[in-house]
Amino acid sequence: MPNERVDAVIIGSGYGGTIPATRLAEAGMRRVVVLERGVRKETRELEQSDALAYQTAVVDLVVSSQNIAFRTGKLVGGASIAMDGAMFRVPRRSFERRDGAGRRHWPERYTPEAMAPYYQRVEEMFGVRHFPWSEIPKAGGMFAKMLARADASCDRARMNYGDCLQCGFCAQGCIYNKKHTLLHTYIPRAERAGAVFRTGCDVRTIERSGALWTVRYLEGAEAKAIDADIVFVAGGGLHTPALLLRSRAAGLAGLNAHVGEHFNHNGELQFFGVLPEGFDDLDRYKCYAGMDNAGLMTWHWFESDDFTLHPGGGIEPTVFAAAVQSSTDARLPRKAWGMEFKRWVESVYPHRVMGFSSLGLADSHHAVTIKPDGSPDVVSRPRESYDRYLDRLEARVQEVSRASGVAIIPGYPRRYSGMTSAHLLAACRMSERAEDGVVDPFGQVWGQRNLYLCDASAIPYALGVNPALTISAVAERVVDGIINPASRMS
Amino acid sequence: MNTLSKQQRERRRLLQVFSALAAQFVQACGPRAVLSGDAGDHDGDVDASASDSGARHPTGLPTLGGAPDTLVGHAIATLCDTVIPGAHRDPTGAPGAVDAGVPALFFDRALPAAALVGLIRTVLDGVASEVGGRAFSRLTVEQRETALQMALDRLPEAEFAVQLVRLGYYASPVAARHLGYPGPNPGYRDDPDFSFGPDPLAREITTGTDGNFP
Repeated sequence: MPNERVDAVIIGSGYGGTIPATRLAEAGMRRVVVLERGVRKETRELEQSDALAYQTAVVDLVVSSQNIAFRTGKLVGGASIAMDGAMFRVPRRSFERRDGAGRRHWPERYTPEAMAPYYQRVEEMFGVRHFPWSEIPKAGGMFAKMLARADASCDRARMNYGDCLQCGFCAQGCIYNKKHTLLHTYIPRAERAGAVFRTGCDVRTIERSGALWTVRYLEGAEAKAIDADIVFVAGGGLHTPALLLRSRAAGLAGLNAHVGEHFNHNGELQFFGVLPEGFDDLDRYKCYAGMDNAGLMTWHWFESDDFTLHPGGGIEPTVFAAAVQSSTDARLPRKAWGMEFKRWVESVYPHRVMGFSSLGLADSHHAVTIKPDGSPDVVSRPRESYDRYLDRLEARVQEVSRASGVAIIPGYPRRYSGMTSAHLLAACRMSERAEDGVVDPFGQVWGQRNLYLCDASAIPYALGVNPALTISAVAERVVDGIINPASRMS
Repeated sequence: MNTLSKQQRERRRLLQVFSALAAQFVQACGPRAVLSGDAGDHDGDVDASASDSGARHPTGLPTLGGAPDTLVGHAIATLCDTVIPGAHRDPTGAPGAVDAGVPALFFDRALPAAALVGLIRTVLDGVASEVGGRAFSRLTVEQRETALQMALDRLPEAEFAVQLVRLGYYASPVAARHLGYPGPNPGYRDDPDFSFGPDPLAREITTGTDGNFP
């Protein structure tokens, strides 16, 4: 029986897959098929649940052989369903970042000016807005007050939330329909234009068949194959490189040695702090009340030290108590167990707990490989420059701690830094020259005609801000280059 | 037949994921003599003194929190009570790990943690023999604390067992109630304590643009 034949196969339904699928279908391509590994959950099927059983139903917790867990989307709509909704444009400093040899990480055609129309397009699609202070929960307000005491600036975030009810369950998928995910925006348009989203389709390999591409996948236990003129690999930051590595092992020629290398979790480091007694009207502050991203971002150290910092809201007891470690700080428990620890947790939760997340222009210190069963693995590539990034981050945070009285709890040992990161960039990075990366500046895999890749893994380097908007804008630009070749000249 | 409540299933899954992490951590540390504990079947490992009905349980605990009444069950239950002390010895009466049923999670055979209980007991009893000349579960509370600290000092990887207790306890409905964490909610937007209001609380440096950094 011959393989099913379509015009385009899109592997994955997150930002990097759904956006090209939408634009190709709207441009008149008749047979656009999106293959999604996960299921489709509509808003009514989402839950306010902290349970890992539920959370692992909306995100894929990829546990590496080095004991690091990374979160990736696993539903129709990918990470847009389960991640919080900070939507920043990348600052010029990030686009201009250069490697040790003085070469720009981003291809030359990527500048704030060139990206502006694409950013604008996705901002309109997602209804991105700048939050007013009145919508910032106290979890964010305490963060701003902490920074003000340290004479540091703090800005309000841009989010793709409507009139958010502030329940604190953003990462579980918004049950109140207030987050403008792909299911609220692009996917209905794609479907109206004829694109088909198939769930439960686990793509194993891709291979060339003459002028076409053959995509081999499992639907349940059944092995299937589909042929297409054009293929987008959009499995996200871990599954995209894994698919290319599996395909290479199965015989796909011409993929270079950069596949899986340069994996970058965006300098993400999560940790907690404890407000000093008498900081403000602490009794009326509850760390669990309000959206997960508490709506603020400080750029204060971005130019000097390469990192941004944002607060966390919606903090439940488990994530906080599990992060506490023994400490020599007199404000923190000497050890993270026993009666003293139990009393201490009672004394700080929920009125004094703060959550933090840093993002930054940090070098890669991991690579994506595949385990013997072909699933993605993440292995260390220790790099001194990454340690220096952490040194700077820690030094600045300690300065804030001294100035504000907020005691900082080191989240995890440094060797775990990035544990549970959700910013999974650069493992198939875009590059100006074929010898430096996996994808060309137009989103086509170097040397692989009509094989495109414009998801998180194509982002060449850390961004220092949440990547969703930039992944989306790059995807818009790549697909624009296919639909309107003239746009490639810009 | 599935007799577990949804909540029990969810907690089981939580432990499954985190004990998988912990197990991999142990494996990544490579072979060590101290980690050569028996991870096999402990069902026949019954402590005769425990069947002495009416007497105070030899562990000193009012309940084993779902752990089996075996020597390894005693080790795990007393470890849990050392990490998060139970109501029976807390002057405030606040519930702890045995009250929240954390020990049972270590013996759920669907969880990877079940394969580690023998190893945990071996480590604990090893330090306990130095501290008090007897099994960990037969030490006094103070001796258990000394022994656990000694285990953590010598073998930082033993932290995973402490971490499992913390996770098991603080993820429990017992702890949520005790700490005042409400969980699912209709949103706090209209709560008068939700925000500090419309005035800026810190200096903004992107004002005049749109929240993006240039």
